[in-house]
Amino acid sequence: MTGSLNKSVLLADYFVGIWVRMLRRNGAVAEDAFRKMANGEYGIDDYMKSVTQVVDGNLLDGIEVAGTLVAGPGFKVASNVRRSAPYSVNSDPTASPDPNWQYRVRLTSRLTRGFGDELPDARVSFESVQGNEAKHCPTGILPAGARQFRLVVDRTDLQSGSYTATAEVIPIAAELADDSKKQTRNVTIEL
Amino acid sequence: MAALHSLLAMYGAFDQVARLTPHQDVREMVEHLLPGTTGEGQIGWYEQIQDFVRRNATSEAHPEPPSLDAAMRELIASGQGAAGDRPELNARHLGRLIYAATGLLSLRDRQHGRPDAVPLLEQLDMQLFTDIFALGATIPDLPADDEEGANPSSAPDTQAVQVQEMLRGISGVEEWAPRITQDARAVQPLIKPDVAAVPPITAIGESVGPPVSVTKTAANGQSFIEDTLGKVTAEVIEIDGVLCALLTTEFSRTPFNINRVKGIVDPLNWDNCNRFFAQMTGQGFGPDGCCSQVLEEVSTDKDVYTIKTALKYLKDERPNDHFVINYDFADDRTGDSRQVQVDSGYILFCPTEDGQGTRVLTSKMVAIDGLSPTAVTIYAHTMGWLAIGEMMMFDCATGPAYNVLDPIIPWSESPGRRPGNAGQRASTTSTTSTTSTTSTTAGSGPVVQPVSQILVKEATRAVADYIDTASSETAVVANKWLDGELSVEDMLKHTRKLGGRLASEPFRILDRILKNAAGRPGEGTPADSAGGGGSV
Repeated sequence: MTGSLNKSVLLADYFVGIWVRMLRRNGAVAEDAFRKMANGEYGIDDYMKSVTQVVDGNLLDGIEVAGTLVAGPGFKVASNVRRSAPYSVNSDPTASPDPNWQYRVRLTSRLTRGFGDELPDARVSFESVQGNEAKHCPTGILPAGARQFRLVVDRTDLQSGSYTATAEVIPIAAELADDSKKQTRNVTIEL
Repeated sequence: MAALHSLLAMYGAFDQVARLTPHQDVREMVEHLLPGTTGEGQIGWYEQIQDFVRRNATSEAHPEPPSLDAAMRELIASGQGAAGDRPELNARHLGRLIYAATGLLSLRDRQHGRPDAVPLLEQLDMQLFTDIFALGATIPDLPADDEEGANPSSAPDTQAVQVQEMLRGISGVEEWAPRITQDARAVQPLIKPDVAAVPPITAIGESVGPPVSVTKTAANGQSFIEDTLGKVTAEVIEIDGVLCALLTTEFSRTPFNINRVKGIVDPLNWDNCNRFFAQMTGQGFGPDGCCSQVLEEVSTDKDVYTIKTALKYLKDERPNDHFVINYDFADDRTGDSRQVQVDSGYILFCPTEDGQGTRVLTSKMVAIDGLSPTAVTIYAHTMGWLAIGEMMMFDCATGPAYNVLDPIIPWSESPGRRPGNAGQRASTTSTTSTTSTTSTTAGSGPVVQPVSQILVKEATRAVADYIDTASSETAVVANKWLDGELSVEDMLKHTRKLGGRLASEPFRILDRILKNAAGRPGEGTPADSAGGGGSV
């Protein structure tokens, strides 16, 4: 019993370390937000940025916790984060997107294998891809100049399969204008 | 006795050596040759499979496994086969067999002469190894004019000895590919190219086969170079509290017409391509009228046991010549023996980047009642479940069928994808597993989950709950902002609430561990000693 308790405490300490990291980051985000509010500088974009920083960091931290904890010594536990192949922002992949424009990508149908199972929106986020660098974009708003994006799925407790959906890519500035700037992609991710 | 059963026994010998040897370096060599099979919760996988076969044997069968000696003789006989017959062992089987023989020979060399050497290897007739290597050796060109008086019939034996000497001393899987690659690039390779292309088995991580080029002759008489490359990956993943093996393969062959794979890929054809698939019986369409259904029967020796699984599958055509088959348990599992707890995955094939070849990717998430993920992985690797991706599609598309009376089912897209339904399916798993923290195995009482399983499940649930909460809470705050009602106090409250939850999570998990993993005070716990149990 004593041996088991010690092991359990050690494991709990490991988790506490990760939680503390989350708290400290969240605290820094909140502090930054307060400072901006006090100066009258805190707008809707800043708020979205704060929220995505909190959710983004915690999402990947939490999945790191689940993914790095071994199910018995020597087991390589598959990561619960899966990424799709990259998709170009432009329908013409050879054309460069306007460097000043930000694009937003969102799914217009839910990812499914076709068995009537559909992945909830909370499972899916996006990454912008530029060369070897990737930036997590949980709300689908890609940084200005991003040429490619990919899906990021939390595959916890999901069956293996090739899931497909349609996605819409639209420049944010044109969002309030008309639908002519919208581009549709068939997107797929293998889990 | 079936050849596949004997092949399993060859790999089982690795596990037996690891369990029986008192020498740490010998056990470490087993781990290097078959990674992921000697750790806690991993070692003993072959005994698990043997127990599984005994439990599921038909009453008339003899479920005892063959001895290593008998298994090797069976495999040699199967590999030599009768002239004109379709060989019992295809290139994939031979690749597995050559690797197993190489590893066992290295283990024998390592322990030979030591006290307490495992008799299993010491008592083997060394000629058996030579005969096995002969199965994978290329046929040498015989001298036209035998001035020296050498006996032409001994040339294959010489070749086998050369293969044996080339592979001798390989003590880990990482040494295999470089040596095989070097041989494959020789003007006259010692090992048949299609055998050389087979990646070695590993229960953990990635295994890449060496790139292999073969000169072939087209129907018009022109020769061309055919390139094959492949890799397999094995991991462990948990789904709804069940530890599964997650196995993926990626193979490409160029040039290779994709329509040839398309013509054979339907699951109803698999029993015509690989003997591991003993029978694939169509069950018509599912209740939705879209999914096809099949009762899959697999076995290493169908006279002893079979595993029956009722599956549904959808065939889908995607843009850019991508074709997909998704599969999972059938909604109606009539005829299913219920030995398989999880079985889902996909087969995806598409053109290679040069547009001339075909690339086949597969994934299989599988759990079998009573078998650890290690046992399932080795079983799947050795036998045939992964063969679907491992060149089976290429070989089957070009070779004769096992049963010419069994019609080949051509590709046809499933009658229409199921339209997106509002809301999510109630459970993401179609198994009968529950979310309880205990599981039962046949013939035993409840088994407490190892500590690590609880932690993984709890941590994952905590993160998912947090994300759900954060999302909904954030939406409330966002609405307040838009209405001009957001204050600093609101932000403080929002952040404090979520932060407080995070701070308390570890203790909630610890409480759960103590309640579910601990035995009576003063005793060791099942979590400390059970197979698969985690420890830090």
